[in-house]
Amino acid sequence: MLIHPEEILETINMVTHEHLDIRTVTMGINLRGCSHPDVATFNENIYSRIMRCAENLVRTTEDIQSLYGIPIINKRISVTPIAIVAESCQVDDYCSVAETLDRAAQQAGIDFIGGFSALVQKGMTPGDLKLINSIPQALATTKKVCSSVNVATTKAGINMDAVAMMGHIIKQTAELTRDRAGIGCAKLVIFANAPDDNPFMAGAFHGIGEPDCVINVGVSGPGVVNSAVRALQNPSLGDISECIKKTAFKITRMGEMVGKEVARRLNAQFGVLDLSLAPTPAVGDSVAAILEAMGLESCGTHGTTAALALLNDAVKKGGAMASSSVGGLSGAFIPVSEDEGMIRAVQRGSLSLDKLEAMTCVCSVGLDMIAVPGDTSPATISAIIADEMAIGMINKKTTAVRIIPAPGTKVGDMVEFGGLLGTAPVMPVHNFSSETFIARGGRIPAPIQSLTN
Amino acid sequence: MEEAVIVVSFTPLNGDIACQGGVPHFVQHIIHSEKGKHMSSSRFVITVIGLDRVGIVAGISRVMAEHSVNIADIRQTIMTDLFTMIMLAEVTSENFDLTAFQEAMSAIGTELGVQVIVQHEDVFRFMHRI
Repeated sequence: MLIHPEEILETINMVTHEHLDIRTVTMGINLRGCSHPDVATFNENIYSRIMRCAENLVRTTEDIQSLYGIPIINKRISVTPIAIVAESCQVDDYCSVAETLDRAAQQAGIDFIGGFSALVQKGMTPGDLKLINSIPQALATTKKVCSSVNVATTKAGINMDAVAMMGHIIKQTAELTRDRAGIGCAKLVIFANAPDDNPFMAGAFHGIGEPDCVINVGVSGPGVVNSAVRALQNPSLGDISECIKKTAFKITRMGEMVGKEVARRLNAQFGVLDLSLAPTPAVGDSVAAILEAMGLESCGTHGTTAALALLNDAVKKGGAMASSSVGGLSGAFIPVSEDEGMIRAVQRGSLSLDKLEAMTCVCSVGLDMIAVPGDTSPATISAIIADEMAIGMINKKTTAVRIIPAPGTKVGDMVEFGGLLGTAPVMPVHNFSSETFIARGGRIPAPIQSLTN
Repeated sequence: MEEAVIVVSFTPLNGDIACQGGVPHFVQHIIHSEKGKHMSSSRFVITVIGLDRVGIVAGISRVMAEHSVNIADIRQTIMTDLFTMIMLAEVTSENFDLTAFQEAMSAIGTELGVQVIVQHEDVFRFMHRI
């Protein structure tokens, strides 16, 4: 086994100049043993369970960061969907549970805790309903709690009652965090085909088929891919794909090494390595910049979907070769507010909501971190969700919506969220009504693709 | 940039983990070699990058000696006026404090006007090799 000086310098350059990092180490914790009819006892149970599993999470990840010299940006926790474990509690809402999660997150020193979630693709239990109704208040009163609701799957179809409800919930969440530009909505994701092992927020939760305690790792590196593609001399698209594959391979290998070592030290199982190109507001650390490096004048113009398809596929191929534990979302993220190139594309007028929707057909996740005018109606938000859910359902993939109807804003305004959440330009929505369609409710039946048995 | 190889081989440390009293506690993971033997590595790659000046090697190696860190291999090049030194360092002390060593290396780096990075060798092996 030999190490070349140029390999050493390449790795160091990736970290120091191209923003290569482990975006998140997320510990998944099973809370199923915590259920209790008395909510105070239940809250005590989940608090002590989380602290028992995660008390060394931050210190261990910091040790690993220093051992390997690779930055680990976020330490997070995901828990069993609260709607399931709190179902037996004799209370009307679950806000105290969210506050307990927040307190545990503060105490453990982590960045975010996900799992204030419900899975309602085919219908709602009383616990699901209580959880969904608690979301606006829970997200307004907590700092680190993230929430998600799965409203569709390829197997079950789309629960349009839940979709209609989420339009109102998102509006209320924005209203209750009006003083902070509606930031509550940045912690709420509506999913189709939500993965059980996703380490990325706001959509992480510890799924039903998962082990008792698991470490999932999310690796990022749009900046590295961007630099690699830009270094090519007059490449063909095949050359670009090859280059992205190789880069994704290296990033994945590093993530797997870190994940396995963290899991080993914490006596947890190693779950998945999620290789997602997650942009940050830093210049160059941008998925839009990669698409533009392929030859598009500005992200969002004709050809963007094709370029993104190439990128997403090459990332997956490189990742699959490098690790046998690739899971989660694994693809390219296109969150507008977190990607400096996407923000510029919106401001230039080259990237619209409709184009973003098309792009979500070929990449991971969906309409992410998009600010729309504060007066957007709940029905319009629900209709945007329904469209995205349909894409996920028919294409047997995860799609999601994280949309912020920022109170008091109009098209063209900039909404500042701070940190990794970035700055979102307020984007226009269609003015024609979707009210009657959304009000019909019921279910969009599972598609023919679901009949695979 | 030279294609030269700086790390020659692994040093097997007694094979069996149980009898590796000399392996620092922070590196307990086991690496499966091509031969299937268990090996444990306590080696670091130290990279020094900056403008060339008198005393860089002396300053860096003095701090390494103070922390009982042995230089197993060393290679240096000048690339576009940038001094680049890559060292493979071996740690045998059981009570080795990585954080203190990294802080000391970083401090001497600041003093000499160079960037000093200390990383476990596995990061390079995993990243670039199957």
